[in-house]
Amino acid sequence: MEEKKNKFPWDTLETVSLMLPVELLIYHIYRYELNKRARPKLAESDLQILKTYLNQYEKESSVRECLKK
Amino acid sequence: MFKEIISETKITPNFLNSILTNRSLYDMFKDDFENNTEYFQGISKEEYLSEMLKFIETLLFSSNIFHIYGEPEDIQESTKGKLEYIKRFYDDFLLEAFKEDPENILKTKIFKGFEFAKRKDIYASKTKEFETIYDYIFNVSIDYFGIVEVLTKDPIANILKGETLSIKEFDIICNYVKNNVEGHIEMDLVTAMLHNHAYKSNHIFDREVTETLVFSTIQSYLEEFGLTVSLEFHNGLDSKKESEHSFEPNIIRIDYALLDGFISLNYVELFEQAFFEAEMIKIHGLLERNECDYNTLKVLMNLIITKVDLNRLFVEEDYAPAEFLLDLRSSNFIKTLRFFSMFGVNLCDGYINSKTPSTDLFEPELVHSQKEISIDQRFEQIFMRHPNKTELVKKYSVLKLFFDQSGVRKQTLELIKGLKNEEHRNVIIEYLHSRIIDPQTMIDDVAKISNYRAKDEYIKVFISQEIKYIYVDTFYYSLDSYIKLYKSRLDIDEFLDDLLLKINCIKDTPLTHRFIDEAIFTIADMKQN
Repeated sequence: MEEKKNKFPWDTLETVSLMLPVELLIYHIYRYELNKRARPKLAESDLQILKTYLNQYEKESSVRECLKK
Repeated sequence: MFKEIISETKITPNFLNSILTNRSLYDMFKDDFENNTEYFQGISKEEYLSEMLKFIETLLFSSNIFHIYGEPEDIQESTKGKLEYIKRFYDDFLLEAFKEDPENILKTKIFKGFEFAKRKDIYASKTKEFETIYDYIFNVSIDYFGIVEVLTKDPIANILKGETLSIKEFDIICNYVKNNVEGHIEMDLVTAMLHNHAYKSNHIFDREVTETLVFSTIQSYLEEFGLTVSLEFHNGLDSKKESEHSFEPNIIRIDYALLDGFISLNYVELFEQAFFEAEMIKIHGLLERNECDYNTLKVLMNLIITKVDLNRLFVEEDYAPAEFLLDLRSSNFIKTLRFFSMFGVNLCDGYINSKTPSTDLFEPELVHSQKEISIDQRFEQIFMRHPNKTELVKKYSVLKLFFDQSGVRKQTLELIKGLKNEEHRNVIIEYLHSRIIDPQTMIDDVAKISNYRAKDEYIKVFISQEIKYIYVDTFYYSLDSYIKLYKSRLDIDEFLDDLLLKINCIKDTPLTHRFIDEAIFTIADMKQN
């Protein structure tokens, strides 16, 4: 059977094992937003995690900005 | 092609059926329409043609074009001549329209309908009557596939190159997407069209095009796992409530509101919902099949980590395990963003900027998320203490492959010896390549494997070639995520020193050299930082 040309690389969209830092940040923002609506008490700890990542992400971004200049 | 009736049609299906199947009525319609306009209710011939075409198309998609209910005695006899009226209509009106403008071939669903009937109709493909007309329509009357190839070749080539399309080219592609006989299109065209939708504002999709793009995407994804799916859109579905998820096999239902949102450039929600539903189907499908493959293992690991009761999932309608659904929705959102970035639509920064909470941040204690920690290590930590681990190993064949009867993970060397049998070779290799285990186990493994004298040729070669991929490349990730997992309980420096001691005890063979060098470098680097 002819192999499908341009097979879409679905395995690269796998998020179970690995996420990039920016994706991790978005993952936590999204969780926080969902929990805020459904389970507000749990959202508190999500916010802690989120602030950590936001901090790290901002630091990384500002470092990247400095390196660009 | 034919002029459509815009408001609700006044032509009843019965009347359409009569015109098509009653010979003298049909001849009057065809040859003497102008003198009988009163009989035909003042509606134009063009509008009749449009409705008759729709009538035939609907019949073809009905899955029972012969209207047979109950077992026919002689299927060939009972269906003989029954589709003659379709051929007549096709010859007298459609062929003319196609000859006038070949692009009309792409504007009708009749070909898609015939293909659908061939595959899905209860009786069609078993009858000579249908086979004859099918062959006539696709091969004898015109070279359908040849003409479609010619019509679509340049427009598709242009959109794949990222060039701006003319309105005519865009229309051809849209008609091809909606009406091609497969019912779906290839992913390279899907992504090209989605990219086009995001960046070229003068080309507007309609609902049908968008439906096909979503369906093609989901089908392509689920095909990876040997699953099929059908997609339906409805008005007024409450697609946000988790409990609305359907337990019917492999049907995804999505609210039209999400589709319309996508057309108005809210890209994410439609695909997010589609991927979420597809993911649930995938999980359900893999658990049902209970095969010994790596995808099933990953699904099981994630379900156990997120504390799902596997006896209740997909069994109880109201069972909605919160942590699992929260993680699935969040991960799925990332998947959707990744999907869009695959064809140049980067939505990450925009999302972060729109959602970032207020600016007065402080430095809280570092808390690490599950996602940063290897799923294998996380799973091992939880599975070790799982109250039902022996039942789970008994029930799921892939767990049986990697865990013994009491739920203890099999030693790596035991798994490698198992490669002698071809049956589970692929999944074991995939597992060994992909997993990240704790650093002590890695050190023990390397020691045992380097001392093992394999007799089987395959295993000999495997060990010499694969050590790098199984251990050397993953040592950093293993150590990093292990430390994150147990940070609160470990004295990091003591732990790293202990590891160095163990590494230095490994027998120095060519097999272990690579591992030792990499491991020592990693530990030294971690101690400094």
